Amino acid sequence: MSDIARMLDETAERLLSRHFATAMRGSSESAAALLAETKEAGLDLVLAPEAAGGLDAGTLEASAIAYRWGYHAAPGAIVDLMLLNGLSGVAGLETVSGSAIVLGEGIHVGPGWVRPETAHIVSAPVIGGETSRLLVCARGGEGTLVVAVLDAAGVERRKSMAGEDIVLLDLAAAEPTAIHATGRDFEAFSARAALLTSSAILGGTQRLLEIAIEHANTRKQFGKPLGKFQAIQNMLAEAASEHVVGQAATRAAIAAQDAGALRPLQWQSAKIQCGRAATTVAAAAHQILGAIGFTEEHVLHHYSKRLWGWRDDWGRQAGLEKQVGEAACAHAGGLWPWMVD
Amino acid sequence: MRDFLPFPDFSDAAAPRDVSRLRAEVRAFLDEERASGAIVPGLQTWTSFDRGFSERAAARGYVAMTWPKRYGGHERSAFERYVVCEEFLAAGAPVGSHWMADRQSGPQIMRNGSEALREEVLPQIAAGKLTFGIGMSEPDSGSDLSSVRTKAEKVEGGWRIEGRKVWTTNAHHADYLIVLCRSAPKTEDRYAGLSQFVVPLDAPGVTVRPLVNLTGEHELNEVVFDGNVVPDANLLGKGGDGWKLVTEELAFERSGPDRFLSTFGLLKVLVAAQAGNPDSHAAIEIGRLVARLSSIRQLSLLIGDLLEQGRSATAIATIAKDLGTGLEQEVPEVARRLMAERPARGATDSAGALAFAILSAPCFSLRGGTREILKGIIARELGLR
Repeated sequence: MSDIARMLDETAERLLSRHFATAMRGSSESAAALLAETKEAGLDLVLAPEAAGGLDAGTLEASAIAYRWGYHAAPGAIVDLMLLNGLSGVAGLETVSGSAIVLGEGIHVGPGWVRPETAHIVSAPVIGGETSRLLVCARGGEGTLVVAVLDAAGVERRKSMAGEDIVLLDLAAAEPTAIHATGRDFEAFSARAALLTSSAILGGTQRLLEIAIEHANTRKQFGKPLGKFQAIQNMLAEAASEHVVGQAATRAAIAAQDAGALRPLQWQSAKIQCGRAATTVAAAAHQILGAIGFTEEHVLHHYSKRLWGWRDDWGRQAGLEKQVGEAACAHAGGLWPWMVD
Repeated sequence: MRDFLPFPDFSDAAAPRDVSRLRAEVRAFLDEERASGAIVPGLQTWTSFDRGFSERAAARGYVAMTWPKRYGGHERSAFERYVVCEEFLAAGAPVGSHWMADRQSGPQIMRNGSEALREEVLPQIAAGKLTFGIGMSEPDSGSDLSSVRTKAEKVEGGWRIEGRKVWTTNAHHADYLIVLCRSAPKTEDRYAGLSQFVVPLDAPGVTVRPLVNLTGEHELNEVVFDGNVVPDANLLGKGGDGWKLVTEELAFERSGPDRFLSTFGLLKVLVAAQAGNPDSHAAIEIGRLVARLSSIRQLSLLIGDLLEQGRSATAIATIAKDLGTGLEQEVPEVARRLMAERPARGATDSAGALAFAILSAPCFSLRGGTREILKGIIARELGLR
């Protein structure tokens, strides 16, 4: 399988390098062009079933693509796009294009739609220009993945921190037009979504560390490179450490998922750790790049804005911490075996 | 930036290894030890000395696990040793009698000791009957080890040692100390002319004095060498290459479970105190610690794999230790904010575990290389010039 992952990694890298050689970062034309190039290369179909023209590949393969997107701070919600196409043709979801996709955290779909009692606002990135539907991926009976289709035409649109379109919907005020029981495992779906988001984060933090180290080694103040100052060295050491432990946790969780042996603690920890890495690395990069990095013309903000968003995409950092904490407390009598067995 | 860890991992990693039987065996052994009172939960760490525990563990094959059989070892994999170590530490077992020898001194002697020395000490370590101490720090040499003043002078048939080592864990129980000495005058290369010797502590001319630590325990010592002579066979390496040996040795001590489980006993206490129904704040705080522990453990396991394949892991092993010891220190901080108890020194309940962790915490980011030294190593590995 890793041959396919390697090939996808190379394809994504080639595509993105070529795109950013000429593209104007931050423009909607660039984003639209990149989406077209992505579809032309078939990278959006990595998780799609073979019947839908996809590769039906595993988390590792999709992770390679997400990582490259993060490494280039590329526009477009690549994780959402891959997950969305992964549902294409599944349990009656014939058309997924033109949809946005979101994790229905705290939503449980019984035999029918269980309307949240209080306002429950979700937001999802718009893929391409059009979003007529929102697919809410929720937990159904026996832990299966259920997809509730909500009409998103004409709903409020906002901008993400990175300046991309998102739709906003109150699940308590909406009525699904259809509910699809996929028969797939909800937990596995959530885990995959979290791990792909973690991979995108790690691509971003990797590149930001490279940029910050390069700057620290070349920018001189007080007659010497910034990297000679112990305070700068310590800040970068700390940032790189958060990145590395995020890599280790995510690698292990991806391998476990593809081997069919993933435990919730593993992917939840990986996503939590990558969220922490996003915060720490972005802060260090901004501190080291100084005023230069606070301008729109420098590439840094394209990275930091995406990292600040991904921290809470497909598994909010604090929400996952709460889940881990509750599970730990439920296993208080055997905390260690629960953690490692 | 150098790629410390490739991501994603395209290496087709081997299938998960099933160690459930080994874990079950070790846990059964630990249950017996708990029942007999040898394990006092929350009040022991990997420096807690109990020769009896080490001998019983050795009898089960849990010491010198990876060593060759001819030195009393069991030729198990590094991963199996890792599993046993983490099970011991998570249970709070008193492994201090054999820990240094098993982790560090034995492997050092295996790599760089004379055959006579190997035969003299390795089987004894494997039997859990020997304790080793690490004689590196001196009154004027903490982080800057190249400045050690303890002197080794060549004499007929051996080396005459003179000087003073401090903060030496369990030296009062130890049979041997591996002592870093200046064996040739200092030159421009401050790391040249250092050598390590395996010094028996029962020799005349060696005095061990207690340095009681701030928890009120006697674990640290001052060791004075007043002209005792060690045989040539007790020199490690070629002589003069002591710095290289020290650096190699420290790479082995950095990334193991002893660098993130030192306050796991208190974490268990904290989780148990919230068991029924933690409020949202407590759940988030505990979840943050548990997730962090789980992530650091994955890094530590990965380093174990790399070292077993004979690959270098300087940067990530240093990262594992820095983050692991930071987590060890964060556990008591979170615990004191969530627990209702006032810390009580020496108490055998949760208040005692809290006090023990708070009082022990400062040393986690000092021993075996301070946090500042670690960050300096990471920065160098990052290519900061």
